[in-house]
Amino acid sequence: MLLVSDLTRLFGASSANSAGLHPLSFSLKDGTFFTLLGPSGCGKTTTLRCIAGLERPDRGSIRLGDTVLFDDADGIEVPLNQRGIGMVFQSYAIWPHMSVFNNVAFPLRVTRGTKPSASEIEALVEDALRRVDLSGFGPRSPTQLSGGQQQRVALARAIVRKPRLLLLDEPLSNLDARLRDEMRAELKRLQRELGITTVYVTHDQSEALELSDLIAVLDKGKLRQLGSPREIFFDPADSFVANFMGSPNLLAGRTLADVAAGGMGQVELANGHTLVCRFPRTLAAGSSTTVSLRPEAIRVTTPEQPPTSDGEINRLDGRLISLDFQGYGSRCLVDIGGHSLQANIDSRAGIGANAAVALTFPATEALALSQ
Amino acid sequence: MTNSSLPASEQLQRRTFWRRPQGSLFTWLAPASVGLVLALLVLPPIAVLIKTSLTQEQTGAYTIAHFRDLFADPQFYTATWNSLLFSGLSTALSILFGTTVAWVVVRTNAPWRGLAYVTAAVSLGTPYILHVMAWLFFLGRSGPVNELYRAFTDTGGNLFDVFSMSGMVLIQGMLWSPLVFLLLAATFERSNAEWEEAARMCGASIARTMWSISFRQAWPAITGMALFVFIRNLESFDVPVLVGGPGRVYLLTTDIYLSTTEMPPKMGRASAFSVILIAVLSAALLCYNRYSANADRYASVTGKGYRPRPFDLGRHKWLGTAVVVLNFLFVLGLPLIVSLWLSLMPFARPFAMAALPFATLENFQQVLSDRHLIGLGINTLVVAAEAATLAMLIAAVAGWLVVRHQAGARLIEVLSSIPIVFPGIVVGVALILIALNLPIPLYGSLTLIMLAFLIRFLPYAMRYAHTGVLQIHRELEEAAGAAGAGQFTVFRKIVVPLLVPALVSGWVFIFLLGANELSMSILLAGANSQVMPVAIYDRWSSGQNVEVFALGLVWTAFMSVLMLVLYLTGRRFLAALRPANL
Repeated sequence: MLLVSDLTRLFGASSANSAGLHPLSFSLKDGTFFTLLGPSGCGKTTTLRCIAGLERPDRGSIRLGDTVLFDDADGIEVPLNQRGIGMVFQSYAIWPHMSVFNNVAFPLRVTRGTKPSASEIEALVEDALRRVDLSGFGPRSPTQLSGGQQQRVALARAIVRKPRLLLLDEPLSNLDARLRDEMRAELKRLQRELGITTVYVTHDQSEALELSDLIAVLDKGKLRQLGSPREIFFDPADSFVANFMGSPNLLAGRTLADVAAGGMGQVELANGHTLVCRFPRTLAAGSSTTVSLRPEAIRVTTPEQPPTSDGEINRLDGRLISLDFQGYGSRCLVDIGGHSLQANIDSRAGIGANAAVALTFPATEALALSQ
Repeated sequence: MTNSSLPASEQLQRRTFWRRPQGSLFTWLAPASVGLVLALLVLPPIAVLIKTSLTQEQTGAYTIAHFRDLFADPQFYTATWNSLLFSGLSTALSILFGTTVAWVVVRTNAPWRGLAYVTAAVSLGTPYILHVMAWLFFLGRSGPVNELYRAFTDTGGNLFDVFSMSGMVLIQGMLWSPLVFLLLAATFERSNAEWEEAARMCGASIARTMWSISFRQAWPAITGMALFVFIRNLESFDVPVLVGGPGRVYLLTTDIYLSTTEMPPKMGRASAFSVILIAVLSAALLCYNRYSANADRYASVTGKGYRPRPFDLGRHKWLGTAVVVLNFLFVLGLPLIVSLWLSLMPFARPFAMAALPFATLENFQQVLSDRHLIGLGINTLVVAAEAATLAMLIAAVAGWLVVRHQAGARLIEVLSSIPIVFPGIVVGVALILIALNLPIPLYGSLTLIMLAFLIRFLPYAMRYAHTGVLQIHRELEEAAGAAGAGQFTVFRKIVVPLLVPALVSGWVFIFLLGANELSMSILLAGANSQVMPVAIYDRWSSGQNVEVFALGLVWTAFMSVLMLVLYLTGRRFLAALRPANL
């Protein structure tokens, strides 16, 4: 179990908006795949480096199982080389002057208090290499390996000691798109196989959704939302999370009545339209809100066409500004008077640029969020 | 490691002089011992110079008389003016020449471009003194230039008096142009070729592109280099003493030297001179640092490893080749041919077919059979190797501490860069003074010369180590820490092996500098601690002017072979260390 409480790390002047990390707390059950997600500069890497011991938090505490790794109140700070954590770096950090075998064996050789025999080391390294599908690569020089293979060496090195915690710092960001997909699947398989608690840092929301058991969305050092991938995606806590999870349509408005979390209610948009929305969080009447609308939830039709589904009770009329062909679907931009909305449209629908259109969508897809 | 590696807060820590030591013994032991060694090397020379410059020689009382005398002496102003003029003009010459060659070699398709690299490499391995002597003969009274002039004009006079300011400038300018070439070639290679290609695509001619893009882009590098060369020229000694001495053109460095050779030596005056020279150099260097801090603003290092496509000079290719060949002749060919000619003559004779029958190998025989000279050569190599080894050892730890912002990093950085403002001759004066005041018999020993080299060349060693550490990705060390290694283990198993290439090239550079160094050795060499460049100088000034060329050539050949062996074994050694290139 990893327990992080009130982790704080400030850079420069400790003003409220400075970069760094404002008090952050979370706890992970053993075996959890946990992702820190956010744009660059949100504090996700800082959090990871604090857990690793590469950086010293200003305040807070970090516990792993029954070991206190860091606690500023008690003045405890376990040096990073005694934390026994496996880590994969963004650049892989494979030492070019050592063979693959020596790279992977390094943690076994330098760990304090243990002195494994040569045959034990060999067995452990072989096992780690086999797990990442690199059996027989031991004698090679890492400089002869491809990016994906270096990545696997880094993974093998991180798991060879069978650590209680695995830290991954954007490990897939240096790979090309196809390799990335392959490694994603492999990472997940390996993590499940070893049952190792994992903290993963990324700015890629689709990676986070696919891999994680639990996601923390961070922005400017603050935790915006902590939840399962489904929760984060379908019930974003606020407009930042919704936007970061891939919703480009955010409409400012005002609530017309008190609505409890999970309920439905009406929101008046700035341009006078009223929408029926779902409220993931409780909001009082008259509070300003942001309505998030995913492009894929919007149906674009000609104004004469009647709505086909009973659920799509919201309707906005507008004019098509642009149309980008993307295969079966096209992405279009619709001006609804003061706002433009992104929507997806069937490429063969026969609607061209500048046409008058109607946008319909169900109330469940229009999320009224706090700002 | 816990207190290092805070990338986002590096700005904050750059100014930190002292950070609370944490963790292992190594964390505070390394900075403490390196700091102590650096302080012991660097601070005493300044202290002893300032003290001596303010002390009356006979009574030992405090006085400002040395400075007062200096400022009242018209010779001081002449020397200062001469120094500035000499440095300025020879800088201009070497920059102009070196830049042109570098551009032709790196950015055009002129044939025979590779010759320039060979020229620069061999010329850097030749002692300056050999270059200077060859030029002196070539342009001198009985050299071919004046001979031809006399033959054609039927007068008894000389076209050119080499023992003059213009002679000094010409020789010094040629001496420095290979280094300018090498450094600028590297800059040109790194420059963003896409900017030039874009200009060409917009329809600009080669000349226009060169002027508006290439040189504008390289301008900060060129001017930065000019300032650097100017500073080096200010403290140069070989040309001022060999050319300016006989021509009675005195510079600051030669005045310091002359003050120490008078009987009794005027150490107070020499110290006062040295203090002033250090002050001038510090000021110049401050300007340089200010300037070079934003000199990198055009630098664009792209990850793409492609070589920029060279300009096609078309019909003017031969012009580029002419520049390269001219460079070869001036920088290497001419000094070597002159040296070879003279070394084969029984006495100094001008170039003439009539002299050919007199050619003899006697000079070489004499040099090679002289046991004294062999011992001398060994002395020189040992001293240079010791200094290079010690300097790189200190620099490896210090450079790492500085780059990784360990405890005391700022202090170590400042201490290790102080000797940049010590001209060789000043280090010589300072170490004489220190040796005379020490109870241990250091004076006149090889150890003293070695110490002088170590102090003087420490900043170069730091430069190599610093750059080397910068190239080691921080995550390589962090990964070792995360894998469970303590800080000393990280340093020993990760940093040092990866630093070896940088340390080896730094070692070779310092070794070469030391083996051909004159200004410090000339003051410090005693009867039992002679080194080769001083021996060459002594033989030259005592008029043995043909044998000395044979000696110089043998020394050059020996150093070239040694460098080749070092290079080849070094390459094999490095290859064994890392199976593939990084």
